[in-house]
Amino acid sequence: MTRRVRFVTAIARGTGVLGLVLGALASVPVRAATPPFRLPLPVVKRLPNGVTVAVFRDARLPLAQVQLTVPAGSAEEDSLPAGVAQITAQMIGQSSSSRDAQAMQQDLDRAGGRLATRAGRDVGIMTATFLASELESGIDLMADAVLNALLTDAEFDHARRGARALTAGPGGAARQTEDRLWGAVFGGGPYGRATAGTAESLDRLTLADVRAFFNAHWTPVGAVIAVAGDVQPDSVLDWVSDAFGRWSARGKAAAHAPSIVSMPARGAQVVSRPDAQRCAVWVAAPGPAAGDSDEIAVALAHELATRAAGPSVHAGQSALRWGGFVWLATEAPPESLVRVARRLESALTALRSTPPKTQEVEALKRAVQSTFPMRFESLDGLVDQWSSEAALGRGFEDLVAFPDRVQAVTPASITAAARKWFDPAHLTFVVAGPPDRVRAPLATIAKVAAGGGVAARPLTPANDRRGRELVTKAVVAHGGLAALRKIKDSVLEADATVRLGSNEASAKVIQTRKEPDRMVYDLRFGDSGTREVLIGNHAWSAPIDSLQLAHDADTVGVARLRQGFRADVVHLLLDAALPSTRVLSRGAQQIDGKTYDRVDVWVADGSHRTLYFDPASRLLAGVELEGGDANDPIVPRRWYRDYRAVNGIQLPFEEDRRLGDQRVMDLKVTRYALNAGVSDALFQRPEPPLPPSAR
Amino acid sequence: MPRMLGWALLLLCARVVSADPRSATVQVLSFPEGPTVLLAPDSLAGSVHVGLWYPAGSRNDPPTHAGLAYVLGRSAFTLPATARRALDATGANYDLTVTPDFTSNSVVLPPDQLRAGLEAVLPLIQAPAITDASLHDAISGARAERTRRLAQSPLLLGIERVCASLFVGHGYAAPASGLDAALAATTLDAARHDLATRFTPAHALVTVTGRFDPDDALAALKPRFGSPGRAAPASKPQPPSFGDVVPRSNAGATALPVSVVLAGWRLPPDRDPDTAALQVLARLLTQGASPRLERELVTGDGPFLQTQGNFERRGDACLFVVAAALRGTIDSTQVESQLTSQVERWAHDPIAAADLEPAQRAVEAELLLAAQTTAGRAETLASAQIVDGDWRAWEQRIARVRALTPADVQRAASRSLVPSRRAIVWTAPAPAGGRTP
Repeated sequence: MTRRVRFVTAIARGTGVLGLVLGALASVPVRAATPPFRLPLPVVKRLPNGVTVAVFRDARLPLAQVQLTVPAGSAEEDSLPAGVAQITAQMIGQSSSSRDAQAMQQDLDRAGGRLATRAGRDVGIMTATFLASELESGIDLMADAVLNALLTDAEFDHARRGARALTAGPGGAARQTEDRLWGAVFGGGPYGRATAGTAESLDRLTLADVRAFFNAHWTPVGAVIAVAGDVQPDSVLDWVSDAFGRWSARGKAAAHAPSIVSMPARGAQVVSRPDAQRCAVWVAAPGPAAGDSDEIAVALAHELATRAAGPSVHAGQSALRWGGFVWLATEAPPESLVRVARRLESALTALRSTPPKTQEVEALKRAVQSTFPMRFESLDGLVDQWSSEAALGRGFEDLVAFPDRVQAVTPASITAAARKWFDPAHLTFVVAGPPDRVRAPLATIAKVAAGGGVAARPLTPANDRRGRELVTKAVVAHGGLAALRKIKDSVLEADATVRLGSNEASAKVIQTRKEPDRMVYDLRFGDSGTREVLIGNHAWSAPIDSLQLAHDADTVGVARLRQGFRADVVHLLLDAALPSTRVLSRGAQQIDGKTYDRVDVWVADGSHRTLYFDPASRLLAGVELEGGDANDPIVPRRWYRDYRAVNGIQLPFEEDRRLGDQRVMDLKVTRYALNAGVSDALFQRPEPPLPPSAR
Repeated sequence: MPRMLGWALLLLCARVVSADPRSATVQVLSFPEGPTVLLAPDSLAGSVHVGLWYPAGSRNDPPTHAGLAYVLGRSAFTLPATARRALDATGANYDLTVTPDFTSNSVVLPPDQLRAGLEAVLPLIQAPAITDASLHDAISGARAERTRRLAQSPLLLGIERVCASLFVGHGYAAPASGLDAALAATTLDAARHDLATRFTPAHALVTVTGRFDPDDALAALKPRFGSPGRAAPASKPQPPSFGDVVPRSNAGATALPVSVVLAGWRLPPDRDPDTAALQVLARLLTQGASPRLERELVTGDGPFLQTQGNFERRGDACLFVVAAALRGTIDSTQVESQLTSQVERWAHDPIAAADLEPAQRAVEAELLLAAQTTAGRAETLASAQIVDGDWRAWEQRIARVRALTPADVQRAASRSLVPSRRAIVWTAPAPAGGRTP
């Protein structure tokens, strides 16, 4: 669970904020007529199996909130693939040995409930809201979900598919940058892992991994349960004791390292965003752990630094169980990134030598104290705040002491904290942008780690030569130019998986091409589906089971099919090999942990595409095609695998098609046929149906 | 003694009926020339929320200026930079909300900043200012926002077309954030005229919710607006008028890889008792453990890949939209019929009480959850006051939801989920180059 002060923008995917409570109300000017804010005092009990339970009574609305927090965050993943904590959390609550998925959901509905699970770096969380009148059955349901979790194959597939979609989805790029920041600050340690996993770690992850993690970490040891709402504490304690009292440890968790954080050396990393017009520039400094005596001073120092850095800067602080960090971030064009990064650095480090003004610090302290009660506005905020403290082994009194800790901060203690934590020798810079434009300037402010994109080299005629050389080698590797040119027609048949978010549908694809410009594209879902046919500069489409209902494609449709005709491996290579085509090597580029030779290709008709070649096999590994238009700039991508020889030509038997980073279709080719003699009749448009006869 | 017993019983009943004990302290006052003020103190809250609301949205945008309320919300009713900087330093949070029915700007503050919050917001009522520059910025912002939403929600174009088909001749036909052509045609004169028409002090509703002393709030209001009196009950609104529904249309291509068919129904106004039943039915059909629509339609070999649905509460007519992603691009009346019959069947098929109950509880919980925070409570009360004419309407809604019977649902469905109130819209798969083949 991440703790953060007010004012600080979220970074971590976990939740929670710095555990603040307005106990010392004397520091907050409130008119006598306004009742002071009072946090409901919890009734706390420790069950024999080690579970700590707290109940807060708040009768304003007939609702109840329950949160179970266990030390099952990504920092506990140890040698298991990254993402296992998150996938495990997502699977819990789906079914149990006494309730299948449907019964689980139906019982939840009956309690007017909603249930969610998540995992951060320190903890795993299950949280639920119920109508207060249904709380007893709700608690029973939660206990059943955790104590008797089934963790089935189907749940695993669904959770992993969702995680992959998230990793590859529109937010995936931002998440990757954030993961890189954590990785840079915490190195290979537990906090440096990608909490949502990576494409590679999710591929490696198995159900056995999930079950092992669940058995080791979703146990009563260190678990806390908080309940808040229109409830009677004694009754709730009885219900929780009954439901969770029989929870026992199933496995043995790995021992914690006493400290898993070290001060990283000053350095920089590049996250490749070849097409970005503006770079995301992040500057991070190590920070104290939750509860550290410097925690509040660093939080205030960080807030002052954020204000000094300017209006377009966003910022965050994470204070975790074993360590933390702070960061400032903004955007800048590549040519300005050094100036901007220096500005962010200066905002942090200036506090080391120049103490902030007393008046400024006092105003900030007042604001932190007076906004603190906002954290407890909702029942889930209340249980989350208490749980975050309790999961660290701290009590209600620690929450209550927060305003005093804020009050104790002085300009001198802020400067001391800044000197300790905002040390230029330990700053980390992460820039997401075009590698060939950002690496060199970034190297002037910090040592840039290897990877993350092509080396910074100016484009020269050598890039043209190298591009041509790579294309030539690829053509040879695929079977040679002469063999490729001999293909006059081709048929590809494939089993396809069409993806709609986390939903999937199976389909069959048959794609028939005939030179120079005819194609039939069938997409079948069972007995239904569509046929799209390209004939030179015309096209038509129809339901497969009613071809006579064909209608002509508009110009956009024709253009789409014409591009599709030349988007197979054979035509991509033939086009790139044309003397009239300009090809330009962009050097090596890392994508999903693999390195490819990147070549940009401009065909004489004006179209542009980017080819990625496997440096070992020389085969075409992927392509980025031209996007739609300014309103729809998502780039279509294809990745090819499982190359096999067909009539002496290397063709891919697996392909995934993406829009941006979103995987929309996977193909497994079941048959290729080259030069099999495709009939012209296939492309003919059927006659329309006869009108009904007159009576 | 019998008289006292009567009072005690009344109080008991009030406690049982009320979903929110805080309601006892809510008061609504009106100043002679406006605004109306709703004060809802809560001694357990951690903040105070100050909101400024106008009954202006796409519902009553001028016919040639769809999105004007949205533009004015982004320009004339944003706090000046100086006021904002001062509040920023206290940890304030801001929100702009424009729905088809209302426009609001609000700020959440530490309780000791109530006065500062009111002093920042109240001048907007008396002298909302707009300039060429702020209008231009607001129009650009509105366009950018719409572009972002279209990028994030591939079905938005389809839903907008459903609204255009259902609400012919009414402001709801256009999205609250407007359309490019209407935004481009917005002039400073038109904006100023609208400010003087729909955004007068008499139209304004100020809400204060959270931890505050009502006397403090009134002390800030009285020097500006005089002495308040009890607010008069809202007058009964004119019944809305709509043209004939456009039964079937096409919204063009989306970024989705498959075709989608949407079906929307124009429902009664939110204050109509039937809408509670329809809201629960919509929950039953499209959300929860095993949404009926998904269960009936998404079968292994049928044409449907996935279904979704959304119920939207609106003052002049609520809206229920379902969407189904299809295998292939088959544009068939059979698919439409399958989809719509799974919704309209509840006009003649009774729902089992055991099926209805979980949906009732889910909707009840949703309504309660929305009122938890000071900001949520402000929106709950203000929208009830503006849309339904009475802030108590949100609790009445909960009571109606709790009391629903299968017969209520069937009766409401038979009145509203009918072909004459239904529009079908199709969207096509992504057209951009090379995406499918």
